[in-house]
Amino acid sequence: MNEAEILKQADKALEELEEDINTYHALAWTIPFDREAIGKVQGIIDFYELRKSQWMKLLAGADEIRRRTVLELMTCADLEIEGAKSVLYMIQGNEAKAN
Amino acid sequence: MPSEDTNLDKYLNYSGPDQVVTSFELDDILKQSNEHAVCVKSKMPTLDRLLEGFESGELIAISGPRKSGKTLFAQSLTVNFLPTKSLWFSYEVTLKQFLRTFPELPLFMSPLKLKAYSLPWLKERILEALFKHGIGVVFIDHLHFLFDLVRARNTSLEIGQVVRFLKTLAIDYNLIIFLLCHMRKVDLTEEPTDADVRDSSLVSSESDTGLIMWRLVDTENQTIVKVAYSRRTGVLDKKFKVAKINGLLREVQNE
Repeated sequence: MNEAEILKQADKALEELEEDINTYHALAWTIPFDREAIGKVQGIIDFYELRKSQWMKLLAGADEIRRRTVLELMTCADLEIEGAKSVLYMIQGNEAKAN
Repeated sequence: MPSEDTNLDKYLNYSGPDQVVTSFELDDILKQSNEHAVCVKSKMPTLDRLLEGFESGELIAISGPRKSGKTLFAQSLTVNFLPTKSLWFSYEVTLKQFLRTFPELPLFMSPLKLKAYSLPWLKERILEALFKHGIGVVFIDHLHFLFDLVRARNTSLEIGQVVRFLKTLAIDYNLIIFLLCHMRKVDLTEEPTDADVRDSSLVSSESDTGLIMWRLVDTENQTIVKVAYSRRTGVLDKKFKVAKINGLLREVQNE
């Protein structure tokens, strides 16, 4: 794969991530605080954990551009997971952990 | 109230990383993940022809009697695999000695200090090298530094656990892992087999490829490398000759 193709692929991945973030971030803050909500927020966490494990597989033998892109994606996913966990604590009434 | 095992919704709507899929779906998923698979060539023509290179997710066992050239062979692969970067765990010789044995220092990664008998530590350093440098290959020299022989209750089973742990790491992170193993005392006049790997037959049953090396006693610097088995290509017991040339092992033609 040449540099242009890698950049194109990285751009596409970042675009997808942004869409995910917009969709799931909005969802995270608007869902009602009930049992169903816990399942949904847990789903968000699982979703990003799954993405992270997929991105991890791109690191082996990666050149500098791909490596940095993957790290950026994973940092974004970590923030989303942290946010979702915070929402989960709020749902469960654990304000201290939520903050 | 439906019992757990007759809760249709739970099973019909289940999706997750471990969900059951059809062979066609599986094929599609594997094709997509193959786009990012690492495949490296040894630049030893016979080996590359027999194995079609080394692929990510594979665990390769290199075994042979002491002084058969296992470490030098692995060092030669490190050089030949570039630009794919390797991470080295050189337990057997000091880092200073290890660096000096390269005729010209190539790029590879290594922890500053090594910790024996700790698989969690090994995994942490592999992930560090993956994040920091995007390594594709890992060399571990050698197996018996990964578990404590003194404390081991059942050496063979513990080696099996270590080997399975490494195989899982290779698959999870798309890495190629080379594991160097000693052999029990073998008669140097006879050709060694994978059954001679010290303490465990589980090494050969859990690894994808087994390479066995032994020195030719009647020559100064020649070694035989045997591809004892390769699960991917189905090769069994094929041999070629290597010799130390300019400080590294290179394939030589049979005379």
